[in-house]
Amino acid sequence: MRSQFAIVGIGETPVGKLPDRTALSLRLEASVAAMRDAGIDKREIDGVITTQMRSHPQPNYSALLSERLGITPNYVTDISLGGAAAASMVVNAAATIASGLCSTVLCVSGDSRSSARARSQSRRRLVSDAEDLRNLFGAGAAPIQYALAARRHMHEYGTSSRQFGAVAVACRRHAGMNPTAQMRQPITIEDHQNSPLIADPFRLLDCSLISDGAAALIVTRADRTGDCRQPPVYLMGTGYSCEHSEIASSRSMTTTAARGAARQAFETAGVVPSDVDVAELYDCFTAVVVVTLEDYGFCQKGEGGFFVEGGRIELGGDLPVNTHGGLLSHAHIGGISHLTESVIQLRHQAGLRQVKDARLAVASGQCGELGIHVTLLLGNSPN
Amino acid sequence: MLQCCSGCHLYRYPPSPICNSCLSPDHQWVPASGKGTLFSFVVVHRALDPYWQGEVPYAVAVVELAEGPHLISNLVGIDFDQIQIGMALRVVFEALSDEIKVPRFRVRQT
Repeated sequence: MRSQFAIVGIGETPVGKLPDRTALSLRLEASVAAMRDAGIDKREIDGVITTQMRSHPQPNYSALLSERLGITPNYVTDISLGGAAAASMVVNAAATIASGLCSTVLCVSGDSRSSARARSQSRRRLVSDAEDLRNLFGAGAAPIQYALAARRHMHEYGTSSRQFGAVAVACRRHAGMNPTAQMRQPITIEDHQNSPLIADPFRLLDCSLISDGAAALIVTRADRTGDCRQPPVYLMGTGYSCEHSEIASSRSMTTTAARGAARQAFETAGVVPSDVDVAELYDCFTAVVVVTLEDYGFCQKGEGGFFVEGGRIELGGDLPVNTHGGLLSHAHIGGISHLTESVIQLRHQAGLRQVKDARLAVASGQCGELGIHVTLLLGNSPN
Repeated sequence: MLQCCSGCHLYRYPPSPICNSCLSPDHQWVPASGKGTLFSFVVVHRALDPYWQGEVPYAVAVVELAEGPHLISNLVGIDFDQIQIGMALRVVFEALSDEIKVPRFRVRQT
């Protein structure tokens, strides 16, 4: 697996509130941008993978995109898995290429959740049976589920709301250096503490954004990257883990599927956490970053709250996290921006927010309320 | 009432067609003790579902039932600042309609 596959192109649309744009137009714009970035013709794309949309789920979306791009790939599939879907696309692309079904895969994600909400289309969104059952207790919404896990972490390890706030502050600082980010005004821990309670212990500034936007990336075999416009970013290791589908079913709530996924990824890549230069970690809520850092082995279980304090996860710190601003401050378009940002960092194209000499990045996606996790290790050299 | 596997006698929740330990479809609905302890909780201040708009703030709980399973419910009859993980709880049933009763939890004196 190590270094056999590479990301050779990325494409990103603007993000934020884009009421005049449909999800289809955003996904197509990102797709075309990724092909241009890679410098490859559309006829070279023989696989298309998309994520299932949350706001307006539709069947066979990968086929629709292919049709509108005017291509007839050998392989198409749509991936559910919420916030794990984007990273899962890359793993699926590598596995499908390895199987011989295709050689160059376009992976596309994005949605118009912000505008769909404004248009009151939320009734058409994807809802699980479990959410229906939890609605009897006013417990259907995601912030409540993740807050249950955060509360348990506070109980077991003394983690504080101010420590969760440090994650929000770091993401916002990085967003301030990213011209494309949705929320760029700096915030302090005090701003976090003064933001309204949503689902105690979570305050408004613990919660991610709701955004419109799309992004795409192109995965191919490492030995086919020679003609591409941009330097390849190699897939050094991948990990995948499924432990539960809803948080109440977790016996622990504080050790998550991230642990198994990361262990697998670090083993296949033959590297250790201290080798990582930059971490782009799925951050639907601040506490998820704290738990992921622990489960990845950047610190001991229970020490995540202390780890994120004092600027350690900010640019210039030991481990810059979410250098684009994350779901908390850049935009929430499903987590694919954590992957495009990893590529940008490893190409050294991140401008003000560039992590100096970044060579190895780790990116995560997760869903199922900490139960489903995908880890990618990406590097700018095959060795 | 809780589902109990006829094959391996494991209690399970949420209800499911098969046991996720021994995979047997055979089960019985047996009376539960109604006792549990608080595993985690959240106090909801902003209703994310319009139906709950008039109810905030309210407490959502994960209860570890004496029989084993974890269950999402609500804590009632307690000041929020008195809530502590690990506290003993007992079930109370609240009628939502003539046909539907919902299990919520109160502090249990031990």
